Amino acid sequence: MKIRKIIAVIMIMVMAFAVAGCDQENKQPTDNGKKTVVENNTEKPTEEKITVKIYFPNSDATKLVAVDKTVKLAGTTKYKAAVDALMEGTDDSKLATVIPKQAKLLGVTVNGDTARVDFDKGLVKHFNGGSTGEEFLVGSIVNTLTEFPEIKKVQITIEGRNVYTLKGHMDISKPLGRMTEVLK
Amino acid sequence: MKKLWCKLLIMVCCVVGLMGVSYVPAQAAVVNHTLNYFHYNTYKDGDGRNWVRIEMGMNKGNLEYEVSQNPDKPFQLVVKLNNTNRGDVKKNIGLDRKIARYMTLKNDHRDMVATIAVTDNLEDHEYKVYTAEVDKKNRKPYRLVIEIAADKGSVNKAVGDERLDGVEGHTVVIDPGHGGTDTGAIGPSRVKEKNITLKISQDVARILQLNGANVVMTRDTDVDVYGPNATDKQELQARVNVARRHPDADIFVSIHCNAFTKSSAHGTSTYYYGHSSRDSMLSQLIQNEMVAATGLYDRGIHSANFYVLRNSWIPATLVETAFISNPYEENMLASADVQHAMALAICKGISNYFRRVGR
Ligand SMILES: [Zn+2]
Repeated sequence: MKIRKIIAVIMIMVMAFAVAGCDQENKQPTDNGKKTVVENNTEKPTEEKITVKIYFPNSDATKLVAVDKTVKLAGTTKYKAAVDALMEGTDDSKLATVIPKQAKLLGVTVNGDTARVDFDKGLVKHFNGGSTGEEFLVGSIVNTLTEFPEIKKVQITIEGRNVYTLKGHMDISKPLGRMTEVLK
Repeated sequence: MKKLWCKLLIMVCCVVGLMGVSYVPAQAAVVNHTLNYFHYNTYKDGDGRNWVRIEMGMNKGNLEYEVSQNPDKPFQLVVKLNNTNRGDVKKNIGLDRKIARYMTLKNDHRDMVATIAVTDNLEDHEYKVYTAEVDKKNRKPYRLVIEIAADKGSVNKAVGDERLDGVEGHTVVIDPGHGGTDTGAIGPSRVKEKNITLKISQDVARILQLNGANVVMTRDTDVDVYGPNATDKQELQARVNVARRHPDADIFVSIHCNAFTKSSAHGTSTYYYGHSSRDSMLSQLIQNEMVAATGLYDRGIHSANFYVLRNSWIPATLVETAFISNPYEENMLASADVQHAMALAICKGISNYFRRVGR
């Protein structure tokens, strides 16, 4: 029963975030001057387009490569739009798609300088692992989000919960700062 | 024509030789040997092992003898010298007392029985019995030589390229990546990371133990270290705790197979957290040997925020042997020869590490 209640609460929270993601973020008290820019962006109609910098590993997984992508905001935040673009993957044969196609993004919320990126269990289940696989999956998300100057740290969660690792290597229990070591 | 002569000559030699071999001992059986010399000493061999050497000299060569052990008297080595008389040599002779205590010589009809009392079970000693020809330079007659080592020796001793310096007396924690309900990464031909890491780890443990190291394995079978259905934290912390339970543990070595979404990713790499310079030193020394042994692409060493490395209290490293997601390297990883080459390379890296940091 307890678990059901917790799940219900989490579900409601997730839904609340999903429905009113941008409102939530704008309500955060902050003295960051750039916040106003965000507000302006998110209040614009759905046809608003922005260019985001997203990161894919090269095909030999020796470094992350930045790719500019123009995305529609379509009622969502630029943060979620950037992660959505990342999850769409790349057709460039010199680059690799690392987030499993079966994974679902449940939401991106920003609190202060930290973004929480929540996935369903498909991310873990359909990810093959490996130290390099983990480093570049996590690195592509962290570096894509920290590309926004107001985001300094990223916490990856699974169905609302903090996890220690995705597949037994990298410790992701705490928010991670920009991963410069995979940028070279 | 010349060739034919050669062949004939060789054949004749062989026949004569064979006749000689079978003929001489037959005659020796009727020769009566009398002891006229006794000497014993202790020495260290090339591996630093202690031996006691007992030499019984006699008037004639071609001695026949039998070596036996009495199962009811496990502390005794018995050698019967056929057609031999004790002569002037004493009945009871005290020995070094560390390996062998004493020897008694008893005439038994036409033969003589030498019984050597060793300090503990003969099973725990390596020994050899052989005859030695007359040594004019050292004024030694024809002898029967009995040598007994302080330990069992070669059975549990590294030989050839498995002999490594510096690891003796050190305690190494070996962590075979994944296991049990966690398969780790799976290759395109369905090779599972957890099985490869266990095989390489077991070989690493064997080689280190042969060289006198103490090895602690976080797992030695296909199991979850914490238990099935544990959280990832419980599972990884359980591996870290194995090292923490052994206060004398010197290093922690986690062994994995790498994976990436694209099969093109390849090569070998080693990870460390970097609590101290020893983490990167250990990683680099293992990486060097891995690249030299496998010829795989050198991806270098990397500092990374890996759970088992960050939470280790002792110098720790995580070896990503090769990419199981790359068909060529998956094939390599599945080969017993490559597994052994990788295990030996990891051990050489460990040996180089201990030689550098010392005690
Ligand atoms: Zn692994």
